[in-house]
Amino acid sequence: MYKTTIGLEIHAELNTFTKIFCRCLNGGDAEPNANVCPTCLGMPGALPVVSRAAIEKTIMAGLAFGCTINDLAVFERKNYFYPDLPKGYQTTQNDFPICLGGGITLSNGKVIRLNRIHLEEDAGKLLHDEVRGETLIDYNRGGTPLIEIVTEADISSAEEAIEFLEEVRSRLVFSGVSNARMEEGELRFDVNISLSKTKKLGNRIEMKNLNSFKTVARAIEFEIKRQAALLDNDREIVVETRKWNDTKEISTSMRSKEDSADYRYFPDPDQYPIKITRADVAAVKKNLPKLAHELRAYFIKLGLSDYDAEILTREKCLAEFFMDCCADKRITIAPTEIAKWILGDILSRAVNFEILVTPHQLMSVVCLVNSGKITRKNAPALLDAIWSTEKDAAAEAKNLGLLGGVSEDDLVKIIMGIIAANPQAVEDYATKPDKALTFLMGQVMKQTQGKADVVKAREFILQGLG
Amino acid sequence: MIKEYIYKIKSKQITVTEAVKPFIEKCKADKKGAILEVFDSWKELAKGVDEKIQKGEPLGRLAGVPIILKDNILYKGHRAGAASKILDGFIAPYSATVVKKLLAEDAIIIARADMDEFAMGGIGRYAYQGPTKNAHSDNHHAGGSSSGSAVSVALDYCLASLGSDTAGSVRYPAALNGIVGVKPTYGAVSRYGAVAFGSNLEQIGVFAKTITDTKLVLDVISGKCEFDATSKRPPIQAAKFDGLEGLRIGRVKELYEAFLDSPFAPLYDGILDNLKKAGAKIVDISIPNVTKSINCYYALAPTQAASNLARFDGVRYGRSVDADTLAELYEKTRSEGFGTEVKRRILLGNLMLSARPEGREFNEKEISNMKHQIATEFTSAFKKVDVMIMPTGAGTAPQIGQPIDPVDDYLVDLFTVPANLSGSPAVSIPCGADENGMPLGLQIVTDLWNEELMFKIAEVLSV
Repeated sequence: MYKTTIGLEIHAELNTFTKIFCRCLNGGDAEPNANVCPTCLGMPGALPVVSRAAIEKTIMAGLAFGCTINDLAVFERKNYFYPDLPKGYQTTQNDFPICLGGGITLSNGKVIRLNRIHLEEDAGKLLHDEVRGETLIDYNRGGTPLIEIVTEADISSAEEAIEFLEEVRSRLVFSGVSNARMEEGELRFDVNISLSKTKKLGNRIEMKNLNSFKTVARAIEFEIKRQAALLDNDREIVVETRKWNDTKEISTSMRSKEDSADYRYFPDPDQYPIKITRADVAAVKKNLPKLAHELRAYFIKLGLSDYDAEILTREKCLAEFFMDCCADKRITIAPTEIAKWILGDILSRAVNFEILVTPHQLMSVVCLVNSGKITRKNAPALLDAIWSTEKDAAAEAKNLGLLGGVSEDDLVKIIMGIIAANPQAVEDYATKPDKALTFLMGQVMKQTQGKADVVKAREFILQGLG
Repeated sequence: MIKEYIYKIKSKQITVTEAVKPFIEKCKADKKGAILEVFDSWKELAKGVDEKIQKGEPLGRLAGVPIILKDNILYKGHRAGAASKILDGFIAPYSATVVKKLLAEDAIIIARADMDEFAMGGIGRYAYQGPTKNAHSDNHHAGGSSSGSAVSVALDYCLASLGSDTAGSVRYPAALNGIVGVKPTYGAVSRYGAVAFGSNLEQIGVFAKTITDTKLVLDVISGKCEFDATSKRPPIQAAKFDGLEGLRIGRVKELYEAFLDSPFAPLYDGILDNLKKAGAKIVDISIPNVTKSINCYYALAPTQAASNLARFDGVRYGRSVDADTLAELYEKTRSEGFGTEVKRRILLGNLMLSARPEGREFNEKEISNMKHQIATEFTSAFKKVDVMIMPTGAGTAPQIGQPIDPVDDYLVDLFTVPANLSGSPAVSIPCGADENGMPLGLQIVTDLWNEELMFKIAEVLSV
């Protein structure tokens, strides 16, 4: 058995409104090279002016991971040539990152320490047109603020890595700094991994630019097997960067240490060091949203089961949807009841947690049911009708002919009338309660044309019969 | 001069179009290699200002004033090339902040001027289009790197021009061509839109024939810019200047010693003597590390240049050479596009930044610390003196055709580069000539943001 040592670097795009060093729009699905300017295109003479929002979001990320926020951060130039890098260098942080330390505790009690979180700019995207044999460059992504979260080599298995990454993603999303959508490339991973027989660390390899948790897990498992096989045969592990092939599910050698680039870092002379005061940090802290584990505890306090609270805090949008529903002033209803609606009716419809009704729309449906205007049985049909639309629930219920459910007051009156008109059934109730009840229910449904709420009607009949 | 010129325009003695035309003709007849291109767009600009005058609209502070740009300052829709082959065909997609400011004050930008490629060079001989000749002699260099800008003003191709000064590139050619050239405090003028060479050293500066004109144009282009994080709003500070009586003039010991053997030493001694007679106090001061300025500069500027010039890769703009592979594209484009001096400095800079320790005496951190140290020594010195006066260069313009060793070329900056390291404002004014009538310059340096005092003293010394 070998000891596996894993360190991760996580790149997360910040969801700031503008890019990091210019005022171009960050993100969106614009035409290629629509969100560009002299600065993010690296035109001669263009200069960077750092976005305060990007610094604040980096501080916020640091707070979400329990990092120390440095008083002083310095942007440096990492020099290398690549067509997606318009200036011939990436502006990043090296010796003086914004955040230091911090960490995450796994469910097994182990702490995965962070080394740092620093802020840098993303590069553009190369698009290879295989048919025409051309490479096109889209610089829209160039200059997107990117944070790099660097762990210490504290991770020992693919399982730990994935649990850690899931928590990283959750904190990034809940703190509001990144949308962290892996399918959009907003979250990307580099894995460093080494195996060793002894306490001394073995030679490590690096795999860059993995883009999903699944890939990270497979790449780690593959590397553990590959390196173990080499060590079994007393062969040396070469320090190198390896490329993960997602189709073949193998890693191949990309470049050795000797070929590694000399990035010639030096402080960016186009900007002064960033001073971060205690007051700056306090201001960001004040706006730090509640993280998933904090919301989970809060939901449990509201009466939700551990399981329900866990599901509702898996995605920020879900937790927010739940809280917005609870905040609806039109109706007094237990949070546990609202949770039932969301975990049932909403989640069964929301593919990939995409909830296509507003909290207001859902609560309108809940109001209609609770006031007896529609039956609970008809609620799903109404939800289907308003799903992915901006339709008003009450209006749509009317359109669909679902309305006219009997109000509780009317239902009571009708039932009292039926009981008064059917003394035989009342008498039968003492001896054949089921038969009597069925008969009376039939009368209620007949008089209300089937729109009465069955549960309520039964309840009121029983009350009426004393 | 500018004031009188504008008066004629405002009083409708002459239209802007008529007033600018003679300058255009001079530019077109240029035989000094100073002008790279006359911008036809001057006519539109002139017409625009003339219309304003006709309508009686308020006019800018430089209404109708013809101005020439160094070839490294971007003017939207116009060629800009930093006198480099690698920027062949490059049309500026945006205007430098200084250009916007000039145009906002109704100036007429008429041409772009020759320079040392990417502002690297002290003599004015490293332009891809060829060297610039001195305004006063066809056998002498103009001085660099803002060679064409200096010659243009000296020969009245325009009333003022812009240059950039990374190590003396405005002051030195101003001295060699007998005009005024100023480098303001670092951060006073936005660098946005000026092709970068040594980012934390350089400032855009102004050439003109008089202190008043220089100051006016500098006022127009100065100010904090939202696109340049290193630009600053000047601190409010009253320049105390009640004449020469009691003024503490610093003579920097280390620089004075370097100049002692010069044939021009008596001329400078004479100037200081006269100042003393007028009541000024001459204070000998020491800036111990000022002698390391050249070493510091030639380590610092190339490191920044190596990185600043990495964007010229043939991928997006400028010259691009056909190639089969990416590496070949970079190699061919840059090998063919950059001149020898530029390549030398890129290599020097990369060596300096390289993680591999062989063959380097400095590392970037030590160099930056040295810059900081020199700046600190300047700050202390300005507690003892109000102003420093020194030569702009060690002599008059070098002759064309004489072999110049690159290292000697680098030494040209000895008197000018300290102000780039300290960030101090410095102005060069004409102060005489050698036996052949080739001009000499005198440099006036004050503390950070004290341009006002600098200009007042320059004014007194210019009379």
